[in-house]
Amino acid sequence: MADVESPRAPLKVTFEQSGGFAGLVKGCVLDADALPADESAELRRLVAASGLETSSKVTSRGARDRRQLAITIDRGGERVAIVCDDGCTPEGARPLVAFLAARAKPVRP
Amino acid sequence: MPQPAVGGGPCSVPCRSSIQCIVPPYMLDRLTHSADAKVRDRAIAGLSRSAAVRAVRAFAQEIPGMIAVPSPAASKNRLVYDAKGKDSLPGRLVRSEGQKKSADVAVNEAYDHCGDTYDFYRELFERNSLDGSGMTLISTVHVGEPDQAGKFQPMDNAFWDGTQMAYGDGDGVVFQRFTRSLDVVAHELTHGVQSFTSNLVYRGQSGALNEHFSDVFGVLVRQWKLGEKADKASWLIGADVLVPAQTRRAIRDMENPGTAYLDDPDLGTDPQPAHMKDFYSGAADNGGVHLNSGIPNRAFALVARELGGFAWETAGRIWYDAMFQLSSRSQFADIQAITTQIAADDKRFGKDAKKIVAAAWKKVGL
Repeated sequence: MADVESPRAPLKVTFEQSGGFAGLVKGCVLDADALPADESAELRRLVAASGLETSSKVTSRGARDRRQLAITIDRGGERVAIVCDDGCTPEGARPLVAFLAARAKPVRP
Repeated sequence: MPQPAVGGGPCSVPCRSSIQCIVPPYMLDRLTHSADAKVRDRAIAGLSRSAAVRAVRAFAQEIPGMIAVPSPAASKNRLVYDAKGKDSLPGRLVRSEGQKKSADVAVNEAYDHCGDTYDFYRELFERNSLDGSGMTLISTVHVGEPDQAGKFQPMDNAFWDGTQMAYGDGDGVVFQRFTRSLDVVAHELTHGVQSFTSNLVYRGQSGALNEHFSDVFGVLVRQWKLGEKADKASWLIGADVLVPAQTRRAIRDMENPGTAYLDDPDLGTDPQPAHMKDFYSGAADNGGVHLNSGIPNRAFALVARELGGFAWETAGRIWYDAMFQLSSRSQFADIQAITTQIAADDKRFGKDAKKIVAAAWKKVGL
């Protein structure tokens, strides 16, 4: 796995948040190379700390109106795709999700 | 947008005798005590025929049944907890059934709206709480979620976690306290009712029906509380939880799906389809459960308005019975068939009900 904390390592994160009571669909695509230096460094740090190393799909059993999250981390061709909801987001990935959610904009589904 | 396979194959509703299909189990139970021997015999036969179906349903619902917290007297029993801005549920108990008002408005809103929803199901449908057996209604208010620095912020959401309700206070910019809205609270509680009835799988068309029933009974509880007739009533969902702005009226509009908000900087434009030609078939939102619910929502509002009077009296009863007769994997074609079949009972719903229900489904493309 490439060292995403290295400033020259390729890193692109695609994020989509949907559902919740409001059923809003929001998303963003962040390319570490295209971000301001401090944002890029923060994204790299959060991805490295997230522990998201393998693709997975999990949802909270029996829950309704949780927000569905779809995160794809592309480390220069090495791709990891995670689908979960905000009730079963891996603990280490929650700061990354908050970072991405703060940058997500409404998208037409 | 690609067209979906409407119904996804054969109707998933099991074939049943007319008495089973039209008369819900709670009515059959009552009919078994009828003075008329013929009615009594038919009701007993109907109950025994439906036993297998109910056994399967009971098995499928074993999990929610096991985690339901019974109430001490098998009656209305509300417990409100405070998460104190964190995300650990249920949090600290702050108000129990019968206790005096709290100084915290969110606690009282959760308590009162749970009570209204309980009373609605009890008085109109003789249903004792979510499970029909007096399950305790547990709510947690002031639920938070961590930001990227790990600091907790008010949650912009309300959800049913499978055992209880959870409400955030909103960011104060787009969303306000979710407990403010009776229709939001009744929506979440109806997810609980569904887990003990149709238990519709929360994905694709069955998931959109799950959301649809929660919106239907969410709005009916509010209309009932306000005493509004269908033609004068509001069909908005979640209007009270949005911070007012020119670009937003509500979270959903059952009568006119896709118009609740427009070019809003934070919400975008309401994506709900109002017709099958605009059915969403992507992967977001568990296959569009909050999106495609706009289609049956519109059908229900059309039925209720056309039938006239109070929506919970006729349209609501047709849909309540349908909630019991659908299976966990039912599709839009199934609710169309079931509600049309139920509405054909002239004695209960009047001679025009079947025609009105069929016309509404046709209008939304089914």
